Amino acid sequence: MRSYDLLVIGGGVNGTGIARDAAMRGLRTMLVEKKDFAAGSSGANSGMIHGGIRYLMDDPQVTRLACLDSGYIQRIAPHLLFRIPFLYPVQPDRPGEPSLKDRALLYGADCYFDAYDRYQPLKNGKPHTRLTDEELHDLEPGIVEGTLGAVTMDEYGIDPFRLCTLNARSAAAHGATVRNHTEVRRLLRDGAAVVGAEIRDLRSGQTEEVHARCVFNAGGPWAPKIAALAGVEVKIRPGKGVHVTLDRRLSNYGIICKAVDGRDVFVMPHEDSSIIGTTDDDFYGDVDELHVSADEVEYLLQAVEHTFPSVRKARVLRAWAGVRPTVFKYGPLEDALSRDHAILDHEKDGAPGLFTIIGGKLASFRAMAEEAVDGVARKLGNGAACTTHREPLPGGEAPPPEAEQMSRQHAVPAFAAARIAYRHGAEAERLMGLMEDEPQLRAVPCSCEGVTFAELAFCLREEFADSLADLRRRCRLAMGICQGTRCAGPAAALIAGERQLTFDAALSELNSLLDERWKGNRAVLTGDGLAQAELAQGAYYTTGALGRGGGTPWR
Amino acid sequence: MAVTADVVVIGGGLSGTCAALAAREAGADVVLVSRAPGATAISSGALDFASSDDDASIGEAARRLARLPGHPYGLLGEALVPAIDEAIALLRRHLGSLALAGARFAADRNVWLASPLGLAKPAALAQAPIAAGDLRNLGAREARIGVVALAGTQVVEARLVALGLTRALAPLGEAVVVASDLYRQRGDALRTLPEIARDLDQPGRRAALAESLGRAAAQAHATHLLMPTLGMEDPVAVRAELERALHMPVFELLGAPPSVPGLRLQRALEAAAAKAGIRTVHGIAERGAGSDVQIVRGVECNPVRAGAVVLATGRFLGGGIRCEPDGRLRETVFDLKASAAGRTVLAALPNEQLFAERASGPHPGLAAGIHPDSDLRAGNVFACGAVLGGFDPAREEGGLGACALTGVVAGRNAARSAGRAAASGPALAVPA
Repeated sequence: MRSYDLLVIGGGVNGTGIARDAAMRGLRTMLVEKKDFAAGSSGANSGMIHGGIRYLMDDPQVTRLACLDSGYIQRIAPHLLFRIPFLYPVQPDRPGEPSLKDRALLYGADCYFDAYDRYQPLKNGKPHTRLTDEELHDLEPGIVEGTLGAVTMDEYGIDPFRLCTLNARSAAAHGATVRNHTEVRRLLRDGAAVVGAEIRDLRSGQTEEVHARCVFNAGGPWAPKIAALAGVEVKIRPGKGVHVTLDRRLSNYGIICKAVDGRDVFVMPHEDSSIIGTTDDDFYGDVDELHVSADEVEYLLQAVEHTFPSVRKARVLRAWAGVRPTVFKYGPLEDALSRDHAILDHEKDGAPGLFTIIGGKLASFRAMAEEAVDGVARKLGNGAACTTHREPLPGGEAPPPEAEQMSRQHAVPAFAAARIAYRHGAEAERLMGLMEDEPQLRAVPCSCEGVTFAELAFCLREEFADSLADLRRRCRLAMGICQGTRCAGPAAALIAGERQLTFDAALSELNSLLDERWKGNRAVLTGDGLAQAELAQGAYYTTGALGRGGGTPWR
Repeated sequence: MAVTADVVVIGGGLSGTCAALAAREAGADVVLVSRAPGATAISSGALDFASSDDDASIGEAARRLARLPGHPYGLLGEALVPAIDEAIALLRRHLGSLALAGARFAADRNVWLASPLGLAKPAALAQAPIAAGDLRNLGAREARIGVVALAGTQVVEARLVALGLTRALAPLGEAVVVASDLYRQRGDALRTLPEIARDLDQPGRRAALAESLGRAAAQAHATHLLMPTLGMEDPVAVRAELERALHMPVFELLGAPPSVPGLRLQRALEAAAAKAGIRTVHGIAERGAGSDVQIVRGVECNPVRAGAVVLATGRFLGGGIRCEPDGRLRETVFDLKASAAGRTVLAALPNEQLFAERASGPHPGLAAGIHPDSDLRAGNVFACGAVLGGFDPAREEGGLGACALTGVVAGRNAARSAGRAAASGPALAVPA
């Protein structure tokens, strides 16, 4: 039986962050994730390393921690972050006729952002600026006329999937055993103590027992289920959040808009698209069965239309949902719930050795992991210092090579080179090396997101990717405007070759990617989205004959 | 200047061109209004009417589709099977440049073609170099099919095709990848299939290709070669040239969009229309102020005077049917009533009745369109092709064939109607 100091359950940003920290401190660590890194809440958020200005009033410590850690994340993964300046326009009910209330709001926002400015240096953000209506329209002409002006704010976007993957890879590089597609079936007990888990590899079906001196439950919205395996109750107040992705960068700046119920909703450029988010509603259903309704999509679109009418001209590519594992509190509205985190040592619940982390946010994951591992290390008598804020994540060691130069030197389209530089940072050279060794890997199966075969092969060989769905998370395969119409087939062919899959297994990969994309499309099928769906269906089912599944009726 | 014709067909894809040809054959003076290449140009180019898991005849498989509620085949009643015969004959008659091969009658069975995913795709007719790769024949004797890898993503995809064909051809046949070294430059990995096709159109390239394939095929012990493309212009000649040089049968693979055979089909349709004396007007057809049709092209706007109008504008891809942001379905030229699964609004998504949870369907919402009467008449126009609701090429493998078939019927009916209209005096097509 394998034996570890720490078994971490959950491959989201908390779990991968904890595993990395623990491994770097020299703890013998294992990380298990039942699906894939960032396949749950960590991949379904806004993709922002934001300073948490929302929480400044009620939870200033959340804001401070988020800003401080945001600065550290920039240091360890500079390639993954992109600056998103936000605009907060004050929009009178009647355009051009601001009321006293509107003026008070703008003044209040100015003061509020003033307070936020104190935290900005922590994350290399610029202080806020107040803009007149004219200045606002110089920046974003698409905003409705007649605002009272706006306040700006600096934030950062990130690819959350890559962040989690890089954490997991870093953990493995420091000796941790990392297993995705592996679920915990039960927790092992020695008397009351939790001393490990029985895990099952969902690809092979193999079960094994793993011994660990401590077990960290970082299951996010699944955390209560995991804790229940030890008979421990963990209460969260799950909040469903829906986002939609547009087919284009609607604006150059993030824009904060007002929803019909007065909530803040934003539209922001994210990589090659724009993201609108988010809803926040108490969620009582099964976390594995998340669906988006047309109402939720319309709520978000209406909110943005109020400030940026041409959002209606953009095509909604897909809608997606996640569940926030918020710390439980009875009473407040969803939006008013604290985004603070909690680290629970279940010794007091009669399950010594088991810990749970709940709540928190992407921007402060590193600090939370540090705090979590501090507790475990104390228990295990490990006195090593945390170094996760100093040591770069893979690819963050040096600035990425210049995309145009890579393009010329290695005969890669400049667009693909730029995407590789963003996603892989200094490791881009390794991908270029793959293309030089295996020329066919230079081809670009996904022209929407500039994904080369080399990148897919790299993720399969080096990044624990084992399915097309994993590749989607690693390098945005099928996440672009055609939603897999072009790339799904070639990518299935690549994985079949890389993994020596049978034909049926390759088709099953293809089907699951198409199903996963379809899941996000089917709530937003209007306008040109239907044309795209017709094309995808034609390519795979009419021409590809995928629905036949390889039958031979002529026999 | 007004455009005057017995029959005006709106839509220059497969369905519209078939309608125009059928009307022309019935003696009508025909104008074809074409906005831009649509779904036909990016299709596989394989003409599929219907198929079944028990490999029934095309006519029998079509009769089964006709029993599905709302399916356009059902509108044709007893005329369905004769209409398939008629459509096959018309396609063969007019698309000579494509050298179509496969079925001659509805009583024939489909050919089974290798799809770009390595699966078997049934079709009644295909361009000869494609149809020659009928898996039914290939699997009947010992064969080692060399799936040729030339350049681009296709080099990787060839492996999947070979895997699939090995299964489809077992136990006698198998498939292997035959990697040509014709494209050896680093940048060749970025070539798309249409680019490779145009490259092979240059006569000088074919000798080099044959030489490269000869070596690779020998190394792989291939007995037949399946090419990802045989060029854009003249696949029959390229095939003959390769077969002469290599002394083995050579076929062409079906194309995924953007597909070379689809582009060839579109061009052959345009050539056939011109040859048949059909006048093609490039522009956008819309309802005029006085509710007659007009053709808009740049700043020009020409009213149309026609004995009959055929609507062949396609579905979502072609632009004939649109779903507004509020979910309302709309036929885009005449605002005819459009519906899917009996609904005129695709709202309150996700909806299990309209779009199944899995990509593989069924998705009645995608089979949106107008529902004409048994003469394919809707209001005062005749409708054909994908603008008709109730059929779903992705599930039924009756896509291009259904478009050709309904096109032939609508075109013939329109010509007859225009003839009657002419007999009773000058007329203006006024949609209801």
